[in-house]
Amino acid sequence: MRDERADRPETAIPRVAVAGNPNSGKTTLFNRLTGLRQKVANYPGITVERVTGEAVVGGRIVTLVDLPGIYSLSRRSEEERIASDVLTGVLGDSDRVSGVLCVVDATNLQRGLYLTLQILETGLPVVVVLNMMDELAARGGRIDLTRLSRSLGVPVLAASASQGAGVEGVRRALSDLVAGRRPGRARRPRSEGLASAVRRQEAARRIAHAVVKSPVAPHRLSERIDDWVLHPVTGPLLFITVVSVVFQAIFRWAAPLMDGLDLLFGHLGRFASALPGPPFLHDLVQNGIVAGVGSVVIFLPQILILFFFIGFLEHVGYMARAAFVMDRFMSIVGLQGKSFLPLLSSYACAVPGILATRTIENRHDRIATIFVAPFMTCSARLPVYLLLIGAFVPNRPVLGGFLGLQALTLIGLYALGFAAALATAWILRSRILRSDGTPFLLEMPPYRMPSGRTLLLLMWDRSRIFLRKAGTIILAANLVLWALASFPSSPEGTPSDEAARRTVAGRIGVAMEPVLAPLGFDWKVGVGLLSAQAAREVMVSTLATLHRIDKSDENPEGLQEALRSTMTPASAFALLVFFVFALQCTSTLAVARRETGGWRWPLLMLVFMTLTGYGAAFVTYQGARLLGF
Amino acid sequence: MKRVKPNMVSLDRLVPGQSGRVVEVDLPEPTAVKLAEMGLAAGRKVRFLRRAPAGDPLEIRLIHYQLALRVREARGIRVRPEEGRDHEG
Repeated sequence: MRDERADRPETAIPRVAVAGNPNSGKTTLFNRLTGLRQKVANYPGITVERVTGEAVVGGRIVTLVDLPGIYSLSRRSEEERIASDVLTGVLGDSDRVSGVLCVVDATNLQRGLYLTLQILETGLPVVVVLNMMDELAARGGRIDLTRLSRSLGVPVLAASASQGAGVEGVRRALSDLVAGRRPGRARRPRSEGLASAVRRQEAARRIAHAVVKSPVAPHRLSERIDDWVLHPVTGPLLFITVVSVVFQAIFRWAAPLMDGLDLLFGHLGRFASALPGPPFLHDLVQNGIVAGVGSVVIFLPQILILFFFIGFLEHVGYMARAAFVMDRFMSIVGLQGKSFLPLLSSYACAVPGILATRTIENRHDRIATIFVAPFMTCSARLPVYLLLIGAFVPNRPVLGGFLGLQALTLIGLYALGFAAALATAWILRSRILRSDGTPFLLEMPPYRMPSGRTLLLLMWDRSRIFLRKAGTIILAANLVLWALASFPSSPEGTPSDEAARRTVAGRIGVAMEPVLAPLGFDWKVGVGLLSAQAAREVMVSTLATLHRIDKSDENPEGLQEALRSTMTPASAFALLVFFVFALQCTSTLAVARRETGGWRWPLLMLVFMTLTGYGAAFVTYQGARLLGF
Repeated sequence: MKRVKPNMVSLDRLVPGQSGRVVEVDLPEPTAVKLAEMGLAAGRKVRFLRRAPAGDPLEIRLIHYQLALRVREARGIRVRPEEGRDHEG
């Protein structure tokens, strides 16, 4: 068996992996070492992220690879597999590492040593960093580092990444590591299975026992807080409060920022079209490019707010508690506790909601959550709902004047989306994504104050990824749809619905009529649906244009009246139902693609939801017709 | 039904605050391995902390940290109730 790793010189920039348990402060240390020189990408085909950064160490540059937080290298989860692959070098030369920085939570030494022992077995040169030493001391613990270093045969450093202590020592140790001054050991054959796991766990226990001079006491404050947070009554109440705050924040606080951005891009577009040039170019720039870019950037406030909350709740320790409280309810449909926040956020917008699923470790849970997120009634559906309900549902009081029929209809639509999400999750998890192998084991870390730097870096990373990856797809799709809806163009003065008929989109709409007729839709609705594929809100303005309503007319009644003359209540209800189910959002497809690592799932989602929408709209239309609407 | 040794209960039967020493982990191998990786194996001491408001999952203290697991897994972990310090390894 080859073992060249210990003596092969690195011709390119040396790479060192950073490994450790979740909640060990590994990422905080990584951030301290690399700062803004980080890059986040995807390992192809899977949902685990590839986080690399550059650290300046002993006058040279070293690439640090931040492995996902894992408890072991046993290859059962995607995270474990990737970490194991990186460490054993099977991913290829560009991913090979020449050493490992093992970050261990000093307050959880025994458990952390399990992974450390496995990493030592790979034969790579290792430096161990005992992190959170400040917390260890505060809780009365003391560890003999020299003895630990002797037991493991590798250098052991003390650090407190959140306070910045010990980071220089880590840099020096890294410098030794890449200079080859810390050779690795012989690689032991990989041992798996229950017997070796138990043995390794025993070894970890023995070592920990020998080096702990005084054991760490439980975190008293955390216990007191948990008495309230996990209490049968105050627990759920607190949960509902937290959830409402996050939801409100995404829905409400983002709104003024989004309006501001909308305004800004509107001005940009008008400014651009005031510049000299042919009218077609103006249209492209204003309605194609600026509108396209604007439709990407408009999500930023929601994403930033959501990831602020996710980062805060995760790092403070509340996420684990919330998952603990919600787990029972989510398991009824085959999901688990951590799915609640992504699904909840999707009520505002599925884009940040899907991005939020990265906190779910189990791949099948993650994909199932992503899959059903678009069913949660997102805010982009509201303009369409309000338009159609306003036009076709009488404003009559129901339930003794408490609720109006219109509000009831709206609630009904929300409920329908929710039911669809639950039903689909259940079907997915019981038939297709059935992994049950990983038992639910969740560490409940002590409550800790999150570091502002880590939060800001997280928000920055997430927005960058979103803008780069999702942004390119959204922009491209918007340009394509703009082109379809603009060409071939008609001479000035042509009535707008005739002009629309002549465009490619219009022709497709007319060609689609046989398919749309059973749902009670005409070609105008068809064109609207086509443009709404980019983003649902576009439906309203498209319908306005096609019914010759002046777009700057803020008054909805004009369009509502026009719709009443071309549609029956039955077709309106069918259209509403279609919007409940159909996936009409290129942004959602783009982030789903990124988060699932490929096109398979987004396309499945698109097909499934479109067909479901079609079927449900069909049933609604025919049924409503039978009832005389 | 397996004859339970005297003075042994499954983990989900402990009461909040009660400690016990793990005697046996009677679960499918992948689960048992995962538990061992987290520090739970025969011979380890655990302390039952609480149940979730919905009754499931449970929270236990293991070595020096808190772990949540579902009742289904807890049923397969047999412990012998034991008093004394609950956070030794």
